[in-house]
Amino acid sequence: MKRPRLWLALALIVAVNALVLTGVARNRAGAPEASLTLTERELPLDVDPYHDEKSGVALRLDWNQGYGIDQWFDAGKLRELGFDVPSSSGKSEDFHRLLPRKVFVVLEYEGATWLRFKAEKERKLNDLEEKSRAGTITEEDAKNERAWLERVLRFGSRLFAVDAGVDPRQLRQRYPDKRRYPIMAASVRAISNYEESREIPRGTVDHLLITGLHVPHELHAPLLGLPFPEPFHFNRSEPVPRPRYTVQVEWGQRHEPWVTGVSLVGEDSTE
Amino acid sequence: MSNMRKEEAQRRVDRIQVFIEELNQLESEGIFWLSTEERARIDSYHGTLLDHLTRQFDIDVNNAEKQLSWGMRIVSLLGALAISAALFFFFHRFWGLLATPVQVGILIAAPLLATLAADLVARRDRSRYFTAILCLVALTCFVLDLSVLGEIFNITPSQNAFLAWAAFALLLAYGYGLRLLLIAGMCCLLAYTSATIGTWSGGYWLSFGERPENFVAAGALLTLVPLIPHRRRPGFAAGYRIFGLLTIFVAILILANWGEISYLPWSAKTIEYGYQTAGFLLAGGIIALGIRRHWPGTANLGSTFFILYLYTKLFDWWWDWLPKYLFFLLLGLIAVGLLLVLQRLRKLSREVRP
Repeated sequence: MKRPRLWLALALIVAVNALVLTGVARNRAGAPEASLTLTERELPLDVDPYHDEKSGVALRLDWNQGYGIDQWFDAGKLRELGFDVPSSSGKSEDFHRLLPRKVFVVLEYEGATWLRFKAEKERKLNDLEEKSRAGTITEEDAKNERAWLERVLRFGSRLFAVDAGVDPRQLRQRYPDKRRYPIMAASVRAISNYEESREIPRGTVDHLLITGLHVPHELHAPLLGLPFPEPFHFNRSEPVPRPRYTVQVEWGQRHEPWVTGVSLVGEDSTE
Repeated sequence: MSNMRKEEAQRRVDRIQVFIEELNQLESEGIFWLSTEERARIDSYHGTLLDHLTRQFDIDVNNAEKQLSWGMRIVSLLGALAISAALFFFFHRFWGLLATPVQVGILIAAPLLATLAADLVARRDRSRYFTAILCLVALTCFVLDLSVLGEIFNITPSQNAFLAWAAFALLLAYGYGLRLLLIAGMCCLLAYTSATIGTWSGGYWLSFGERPENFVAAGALLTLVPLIPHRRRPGFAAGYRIFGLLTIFVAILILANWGEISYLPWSAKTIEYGYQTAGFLLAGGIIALGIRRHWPGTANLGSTFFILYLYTKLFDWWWDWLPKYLFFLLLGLIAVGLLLVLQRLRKLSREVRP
């Protein structure tokens, strides 16, 4: 290859990396946009224990998808996000043809939505006991349902999506508490629910654009060697696990998160 | 001779082979023969020329060498893929043992060193097989570089990475005349262009695959690249043309059968009929263009997709209500009918030519 082209190829590598690292620096500059301490409930280990040779440690960002979204992600919100929403006399295919959009979503941690969710699940647990006594549900079904409800209450994520918008600054003005409301980029889609003999436009959060967090080498020591929790099976009667660690996470100016601390949770912790 | 490229040298060698074979044939049939002195002069000239071209360009002088060259290309590709996979799993395995600054340093250094190694090897490697391996490794390192940086720093994914990879792959492709890197570059360019076109309608870039029209537009742009003269790499122009057309044909094939995923605001059936018609017209037009411009690859691609569109249409019409043996018999008869038509056309074109 002629020298100028070689230098161009090398310069391209350096320039692109410089651009990426500059973006990272800009994201982490100044005061964090949000700062939370999450637990294994929201950030489980992201590893396949049977097939993985990976020596790095990553956490998966789990959030409670779907619950409560119906309350706020309606036709008006869809239009606000730029969707050309068909009228409610349209067919469901008309809604599903709309392409997903990139927007910013407000997540709420251990807030009003979590309390509502918790109360609802606890009510279901109580109802389950009554149904079991009345014989309207089999013992096996009651046991499976109880196991699932207890797991969700004691080991499920306490992060819920509560709002969305195209301008994260406006969202931050609406949700100023930076220790409870991180704002993240997400892909959202228009769908429809068939209610009252017509298609009602609704929105759904397809997925967050960042689904995992890398734990830097200098912080991952507490997580090394932690046994991977067994997948949840309805047929087993193992006790609900307790979260084993907490993770300090900060979000930057571009709403991209990073881990700033990891600690193991004590045996007597109420977490 | 000093300005000759490897492709031109290979064509010259092929012409010499054909010339010698035909001359021998004419001599054996008693039609034409050269005197001993004339034959000796030609043989001596060709011998010197072949020797020079082989030393300068590492080309194939006979069929056996051509077959070996194909084998070497396949081995070179497999070797490059294996080394790239080894690199990927190496990073995967030992990553967690390194501090972040060391990780970043390795990620940036790897493609730089691989590129320099490729350049060093290329200065001695006339065959370009070893250069191709190292260039593919360099591209893999660059892809890993940006992907892993994205993982380490939890960066929001963007289609711009495809543009960087495309630029790098094309620089290597043009620098060393490597078709493999050209294909890699075109794939990345196609992904970037389709994704960017997809965002113009407001959609999220990763959903670009949900609308095949994005690929029609991107493929069309690729077919226009040969309008930029490619004097030093004439084979690359055909590469862009065929890759771009292949992309368009496949996208139209999908839309001709699945109208729901089109941008167009009409019923699915109308969209499908429209794209079926467009597909036939385009395939026919490409066949004619390929014959007129002496682009055999282009004409063959057009013919292949014409038949594919025809067969999918026949499947739509007949599969459900014809017995299967009759369906395939009809397909075979249609193929025979098409052959007869093409044979007639070929005969007519010979009669027209003086």
